[in-house]
Amino acid sequence: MIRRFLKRYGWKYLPGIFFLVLCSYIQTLAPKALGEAIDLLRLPDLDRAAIFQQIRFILYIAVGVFATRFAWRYFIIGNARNMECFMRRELFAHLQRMPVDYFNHIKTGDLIAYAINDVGAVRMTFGPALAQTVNAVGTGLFSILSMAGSIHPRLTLLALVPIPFAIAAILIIGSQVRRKFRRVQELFGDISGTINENINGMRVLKAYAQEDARLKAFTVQSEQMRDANLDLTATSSLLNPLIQIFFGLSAMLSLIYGGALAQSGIISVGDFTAFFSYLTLMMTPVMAIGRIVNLLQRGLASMRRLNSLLEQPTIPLLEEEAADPPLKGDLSVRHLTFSYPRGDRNVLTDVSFDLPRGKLLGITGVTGSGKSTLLYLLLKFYRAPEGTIFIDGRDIRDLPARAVRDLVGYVPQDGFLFNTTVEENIRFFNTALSYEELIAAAQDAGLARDIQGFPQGYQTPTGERGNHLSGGQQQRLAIARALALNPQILILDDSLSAVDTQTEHAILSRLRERLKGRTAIIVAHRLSALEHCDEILVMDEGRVAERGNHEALLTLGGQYARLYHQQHEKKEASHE
Amino acid sequence: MNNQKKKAPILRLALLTRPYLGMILLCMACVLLINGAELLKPLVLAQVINRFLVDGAVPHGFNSIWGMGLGYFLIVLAGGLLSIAQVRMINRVGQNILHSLRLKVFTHIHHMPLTRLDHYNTGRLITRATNDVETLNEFYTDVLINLFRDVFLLVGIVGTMLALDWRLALAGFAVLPLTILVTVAVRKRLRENFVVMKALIARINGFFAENMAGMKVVQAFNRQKEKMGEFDDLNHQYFRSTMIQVLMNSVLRPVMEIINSLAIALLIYYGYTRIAGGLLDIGVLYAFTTYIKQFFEPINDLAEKYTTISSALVSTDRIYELLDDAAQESLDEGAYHGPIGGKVEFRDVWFAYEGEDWVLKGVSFVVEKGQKVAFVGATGAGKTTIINLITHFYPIQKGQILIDDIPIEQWSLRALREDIAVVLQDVFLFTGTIADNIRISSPISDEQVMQALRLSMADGFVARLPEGIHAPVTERGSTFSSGERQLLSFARAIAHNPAILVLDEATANIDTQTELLIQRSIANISQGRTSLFIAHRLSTIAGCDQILVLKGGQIIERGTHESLMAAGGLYGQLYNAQFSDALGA
Repeated sequence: MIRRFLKRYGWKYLPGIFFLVLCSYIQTLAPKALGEAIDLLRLPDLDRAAIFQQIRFILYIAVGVFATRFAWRYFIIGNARNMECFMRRELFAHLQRMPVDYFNHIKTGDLIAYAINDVGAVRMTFGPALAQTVNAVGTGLFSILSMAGSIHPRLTLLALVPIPFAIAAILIIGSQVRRKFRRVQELFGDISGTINENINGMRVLKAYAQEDARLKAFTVQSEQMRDANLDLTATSSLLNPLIQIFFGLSAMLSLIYGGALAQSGIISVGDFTAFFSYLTLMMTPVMAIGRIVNLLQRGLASMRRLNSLLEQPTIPLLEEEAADPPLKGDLSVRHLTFSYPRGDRNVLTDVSFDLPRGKLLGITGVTGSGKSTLLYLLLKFYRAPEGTIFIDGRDIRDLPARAVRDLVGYVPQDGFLFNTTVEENIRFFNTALSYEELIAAAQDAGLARDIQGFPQGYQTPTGERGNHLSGGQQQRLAIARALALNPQILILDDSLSAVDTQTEHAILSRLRERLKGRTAIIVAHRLSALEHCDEILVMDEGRVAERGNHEALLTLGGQYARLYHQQHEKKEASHE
Repeated sequence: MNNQKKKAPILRLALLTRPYLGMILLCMACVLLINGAELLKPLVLAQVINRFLVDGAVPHGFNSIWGMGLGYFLIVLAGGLLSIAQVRMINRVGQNILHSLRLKVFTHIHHMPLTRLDHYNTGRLITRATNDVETLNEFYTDVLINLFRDVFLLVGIVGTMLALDWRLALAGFAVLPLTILVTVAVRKRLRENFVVMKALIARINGFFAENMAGMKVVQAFNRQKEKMGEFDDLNHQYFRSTMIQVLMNSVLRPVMEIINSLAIALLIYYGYTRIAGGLLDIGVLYAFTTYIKQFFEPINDLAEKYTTISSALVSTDRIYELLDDAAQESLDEGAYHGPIGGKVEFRDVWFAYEGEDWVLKGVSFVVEKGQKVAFVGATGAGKTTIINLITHFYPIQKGQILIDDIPIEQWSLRALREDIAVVLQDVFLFTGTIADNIRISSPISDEQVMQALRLSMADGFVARLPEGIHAPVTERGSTFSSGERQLLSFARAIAHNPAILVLDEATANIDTQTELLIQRSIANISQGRTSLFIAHRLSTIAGCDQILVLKGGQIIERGTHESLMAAGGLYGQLYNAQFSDALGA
């Protein structure tokens, strides 16, 4: 990813680095210029013109520093921002092409951490850290060269003796500070976690009168946090003073030796002052070393994390084509046995059924019996084994995922709404959908009356994950979204669980009306949703345990009939 | 808690430091010395230049170049050591203040009655206790230390310069208005832009969260391209706002450099005639150029701290808004401390969460010790409210609630909450182990935990976990199914051996096997104790001594299953219209 970025935008770093080096160079001219000005002032008869010339020179230097610094910041820091956005886009694009299965195994919070924290850390490496490194090397080198070249080499050497010690101190203390800072951050995470949990679980805590016990536990955490912070500052407070002391040592040596040199006229007074200015100038990059190391470490770690994410295989691009000619939707499943790529046991075993156009298939079974997996295979979220699933007589493996999904209107178990308006959720980017079609979809999903009751109607915000709506409304809105696609096959994955039986009946009968000549698969726990299906599959541990229509299954007197009686409570429920 | 009127946040922050006044004064003294050292350094150099290099004075003991050099180093050393001590001291103060503030906020929230807590949204409460306190941490560790130093240093530099040569000083200060103008103007824009940037990054964050969670839907509907378009839009807006920041920073920092050079140019321009006239030493001129450079640092520093300070003030305001909310409940107040026997009586109870919005309108019933009662009715009929009232989460407005014939107000909250176990519909599990979740923090032995798990039929799945009752429970118990979570919450209730059990049955989709376990569990744990159910299962209701049918906050029917069916009222209708669904809706 970074290589791709560098290939496209990497050239911008070149002028950036050029201006940065130039900037460092111009900067190191300033102390010398000031020194020369001081020497001019010492001359017994003042040369006005020369002094004015020198003042102008100092101002030119300032303008030069300003211009070059502006330029390098624009190129380097700006490009790093560009990189940040580029990477985040790549990441999003990559995630969009990850198989659905992936998102079941990773926490959303972790993915966000990639997108925000890791991308941010890499940006810091390729922006400020890069610039500071070049600047530190440039400024240090040019300073030393000016000091040694135009002032006095031996004095320079002597003055530099304490600097390596300063750098060593920075590196050692820096790594300790990082370690202790991590500890503080961990504790902050713990404390936030505790507070979060206690506030969310406040009713339970109060119901069991556990306030005081919790407070005691929190006090310990808070004390730990305080001590960790103090431990951190005990170390970090050493950093700047130590650097200053080492540089103070440098200054002392330069003062004594340089003073002697100036006294004996080997260097001028202006050189003597310039020398001190160079020492001050060098202090900034030396102090930056700790920060640079920190940024580089974090950036490298983040880069590794991002790369390992981006190396995960995505869905091939050819899956994003449309079928030609368009599919009609005759579905048949033949001896389908399936286990998840990471799993070791069969989730589906020898499942077969035919679902010709216009028929209604019902599926029921306990949690974990393989119902959702079957749907996922039909949607090509996973690859079915060869020769097991056919659409219009063609193996689903030979059809692009896009074509299959264009055919299907899918209503997931949790509905899942986006944080926008009711209308935008139904439309779901389908700009061709007319207003009449929109309303028809809402009506057929049994939602139109609810929407009329909202003060903002179709423009009502749905909130995060649709939480402004009731559970039943969310489900019905998800159904409307699927209907608005005008799909050949409608799949309801237990999508009516949060509406009451009467509403369920009403919606289902409207749907049967609307879906005339089209195919539907209804998964439900509540059997009342399945009564009108042409065929019902009762799944048990991945197998089709029973099949037939409602009446046939009742007469069969098996699992289905038992469930049915349990739900209707005609007799005593429990068979203990 | 002080009972004065609302105070300015800055005063609040100052008041928090009161217990540490001595240490703070000591820190200030240190700061003065550190700044003194800082100001002395250029003067030493000026002395060397003037006395030994220009005037060629004869060295005499310490009054020599090497003596000056040594002095210079000692000044630096002293300044360094003092600043180590100062930083540590001020941090001790800051961390202690924060520790006590954290405890104060935490305690306060925990002792707020639910009547008040309901007014705060959970997210906001969490922010108060975490982020707002953390903002103050930044204030105390970062700002407080440097604030004194910067201000004193500024004053010190100005004073020293004026004392050395007031005319030259004024020449140097001529650039000051320009500095302040640029700093204020650009920083204001920067801050505004920063707010925009933060809002955009929050939106990107939310966009990722939403799309990762909803990827199934996006892929099922083939909307990847459209979502990418939305993302590009957002990402581009963010990029533009960051570029504004880059540009403004690219101007702000280098511009300071120019102003600095301008000041030096002014010093030389103004200084050279005075040097010629013998009115000014070169050493002093050099010291001035150093002072001018030092001068910009604290100004810049202060400007940067401005954001931290203003957000600390906002956070302080918010924290105290919460702490000033005086409503606190005490667990041990009340004449009666238990144990509770088990009789519950409502006498014409009227209750509203808000104003005159009655949720219960004259509810009366008696549950004798050991009896089982079911509450039945549609959503909003007031069933859950009854639960909230039994443990005195909310005070009632009219009527009386009696526990063991004693008005509920006379019982201590601790007694009510320790002897009445409430199982809420929405099971909340804490991070920790299964045993921790059963105990919460009460002294309950492992054997008792096992016993509770057995009674509540949760022992089966717990035994299958490799670590048994010490198996970890992750955030909110997400590794358990909703049925398992419910069984655990039953075990928790029963482990506390309550006199009264109050159970709000969950309606979540639970498969048939777990359903059976739950039924058995309920039968087990309610055995021999007063039990109140908000029931959705016929099996629970059928075994009850009494069924109360609620509608619109009133009890409209009461009796046993048989008598109510015979009466053919609302209960009969509900029952016939497929019982569990109609109630669960």
